[in-house]
Amino acid sequence: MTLLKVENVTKNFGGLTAISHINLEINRNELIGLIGPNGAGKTTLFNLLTGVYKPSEGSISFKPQEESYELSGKNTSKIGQKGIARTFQNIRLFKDLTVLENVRIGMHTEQGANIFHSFFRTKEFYRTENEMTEKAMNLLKIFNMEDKAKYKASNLPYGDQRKLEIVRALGTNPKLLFLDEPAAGMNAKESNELTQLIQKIHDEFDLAIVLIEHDMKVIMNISERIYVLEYGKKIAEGTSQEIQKNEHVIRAYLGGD
Amino acid sequence: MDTLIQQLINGLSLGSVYALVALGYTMVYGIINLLNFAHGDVYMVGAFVGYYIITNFNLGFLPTLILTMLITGILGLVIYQVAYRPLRNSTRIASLITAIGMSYLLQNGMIYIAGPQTRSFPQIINNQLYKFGAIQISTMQLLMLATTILLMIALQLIVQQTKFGKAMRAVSNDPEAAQLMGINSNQVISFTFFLGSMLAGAGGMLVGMYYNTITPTMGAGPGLKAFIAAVVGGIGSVPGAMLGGYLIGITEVMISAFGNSMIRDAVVYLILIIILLVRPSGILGKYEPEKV
Amino acid sequence: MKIINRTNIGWLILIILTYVILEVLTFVGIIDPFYEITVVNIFINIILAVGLNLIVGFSGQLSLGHAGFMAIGAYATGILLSNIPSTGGFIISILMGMILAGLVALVVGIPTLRLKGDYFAIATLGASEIIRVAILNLPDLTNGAVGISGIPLIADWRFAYFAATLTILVVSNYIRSSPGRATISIREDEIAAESLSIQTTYYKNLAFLIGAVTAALAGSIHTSYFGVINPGQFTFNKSIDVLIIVVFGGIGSVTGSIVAAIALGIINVYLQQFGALRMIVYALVLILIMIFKPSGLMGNVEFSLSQLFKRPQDVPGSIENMEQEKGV
Repeated sequence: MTLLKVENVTKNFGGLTAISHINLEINRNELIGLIGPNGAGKTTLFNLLTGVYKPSEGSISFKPQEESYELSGKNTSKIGQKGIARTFQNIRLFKDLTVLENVRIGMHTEQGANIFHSFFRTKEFYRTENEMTEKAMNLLKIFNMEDKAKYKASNLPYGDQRKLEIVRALGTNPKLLFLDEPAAGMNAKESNELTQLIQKIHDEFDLAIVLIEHDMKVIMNISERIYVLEYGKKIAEGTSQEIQKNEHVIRAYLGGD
Repeated sequence: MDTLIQQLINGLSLGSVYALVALGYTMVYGIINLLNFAHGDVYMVGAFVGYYIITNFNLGFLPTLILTMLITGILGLVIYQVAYRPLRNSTRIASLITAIGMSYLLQNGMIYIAGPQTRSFPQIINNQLYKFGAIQISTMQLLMLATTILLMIALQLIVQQTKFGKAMRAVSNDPEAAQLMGINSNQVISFTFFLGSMLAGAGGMLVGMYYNTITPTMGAGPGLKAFIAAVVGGIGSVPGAMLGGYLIGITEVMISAFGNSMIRDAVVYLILIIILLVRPSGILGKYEPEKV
Repeated sequence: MKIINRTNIGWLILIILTYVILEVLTFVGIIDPFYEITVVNIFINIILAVGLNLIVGFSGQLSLGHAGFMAIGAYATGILLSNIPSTGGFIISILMGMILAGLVALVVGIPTLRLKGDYFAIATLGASEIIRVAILNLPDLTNGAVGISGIPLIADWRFAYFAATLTILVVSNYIRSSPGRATISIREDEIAAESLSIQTTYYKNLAFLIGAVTAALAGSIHTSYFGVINPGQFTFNKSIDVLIIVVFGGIGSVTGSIVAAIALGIINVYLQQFGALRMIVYALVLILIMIFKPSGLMGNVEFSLSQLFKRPQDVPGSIENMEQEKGV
């Protein structure tokens, strides 16, 4: 069942076409790899799909439940509310806040924005606060980070910061999660662990994951399907075996004609 | 009709000073994204420096102007090096607050040195009125218009034609890339502050001569007006600052002449708010979303 | 975690204790009428600074127009209380001031807070100047530049204390709640906050609204305590005075704002005579803080009773313990 359908999406920056007529489809609970050489437009595509940029043309329809929504032109927070979350290539944690607070911010919609409860600390306030904390701790436990809940985010080691971004995104209860180079800067052992974690999230949570990654081992291991971009265009799609044999892709990566 | 033309001339002379001060705001904003709140106070210092040079050394208009510009230029340079440069990598709010602190420092420093009282600016030119029918224009107004226009042409030449101008545009476009291309961005920013403060100093001295009075708090009002001019024209854009300056100057004079001078300031702020609502990037500026 | 817990009872005791101490000091005459003015000014400044800190320190938006909102409250009370000289009139005037200030905040905030950059700072500056010029130019209502005098003195120091306590309570409860954390996340990283489906413009406006409303409250108290107001009291300089308190205390620390308001209130009594020199020192300190410790004297540290109450056997990291620390 299709979760996200991207049709003919194009993005121009001034005269430069960063993304050109992209079509893709992501099904429920799929784990998709998105690869391509540097500057192929992978992050730009994420930015388009999460509303950071508005597409110049094309449509993006998202169908988390029965109802389908058009995301093109919507802003980031609206898209988030529909059930799309992401991490960033250059880590964007709330550095001065604790690990737990980072995760709880992702859950803010759960309590709703009832300011009255916040102002006067009603019973309801304490109930939702405790619920949120419990949920956040459970999420952190999955990532083996529960004992670091009170650390300041900026004091975490690099690998944990990347992990925390994923936990925080999961806190929003997404149906679709975009991971932008989650293994960047990790050593082989860490990136191995991360691969297993992503696999685990994918198995345990009811969501689809799209993964940008340069580490081909990671991508080929866990992706069910792969999309390949080059110069803002989609040049291939298929399973990892298909992609590995695709001449177009090999040329894109190794150069030559 | 005659009064209209007459007020237009008055508005142009006032507007040219706003334009001069607005240029400094816009250049600094264009290059390091800082609202230099202290800029209006550099303008005030310009008026006082001119005053002291004339009363103590009895120099003529041109040497006084050049000296004043040099001194305020150096002041701008020092302000950048001491207060803003250490904050290059900190938050926007931190640099804004520093700029406000700098403005307070200059203003109260001058009150401390020169006293809070109003002084009258010594007359160094023979101010005559030239009449063309019902319309009259004074030597001072001509001098103001001529000086500001010459300075603006000079600035435009520097920005468009010289190596420094090219470097300025490069740094404002992408400071890191400029640095990698071998441009010393600190030097360029310093030079920008120097240029902008020179223009503000000249503006201060001209206004001192024009209105005949100077006080340590004289920078606050015109500083804000010039700043509004820069925003209205499109902050970061040099022609925008000139356009905004003349626009605000003429508006002010017209309201004083044909309406209620009490609401003059409110109208200027209202223009600002409307511009922010309708076209936040200003008439000639462009609004760029943040990169992710 | 129940509502009646150690921390909350602790705070209640602290509030009552402070009140009793003030009452005693007034009774025995240590706080004489002259010092009472200082005390009330401190309370007013606490309200102003805590409100502004919510805008500047927690949502991360620089407002340069706090004096404008204070002026709205001040004039609402000045005008209404002169016509209805009673406690009821005072209360009505406070509410009117708050509503009006809130409306103006929305008019300024909704269009400008969705833009990134310094537009908000500029717009608030402009708005507060427009408010001041409007007051100057409505002489039938506001008595123009001369201002209003002989306003009934209904607020006393007790009222100011109560209002300051309420403001502190509401603001610190707010920032330690889910909407509050959403607000802080905007300051930390707006793009990340948006990606977590936080409606940043909404929370920025909310913080600005709360700040503006508290500023109006401070203005009302000011008016009904001193009995005299004029537009000259609400210039750009007043906004900067409040900003100085916020910066000294720590951008993002309510405790800091309270401490700074008290400290500067006392220091000002002695430095008043130095005029320009005092302002030079303030300006220098402002610049130095921004260069060397941009988070202010307190950083974003908060005084926390639960921290004081913590027993050594409490296991760090346990959920209960963490909750307590979050609780006021």
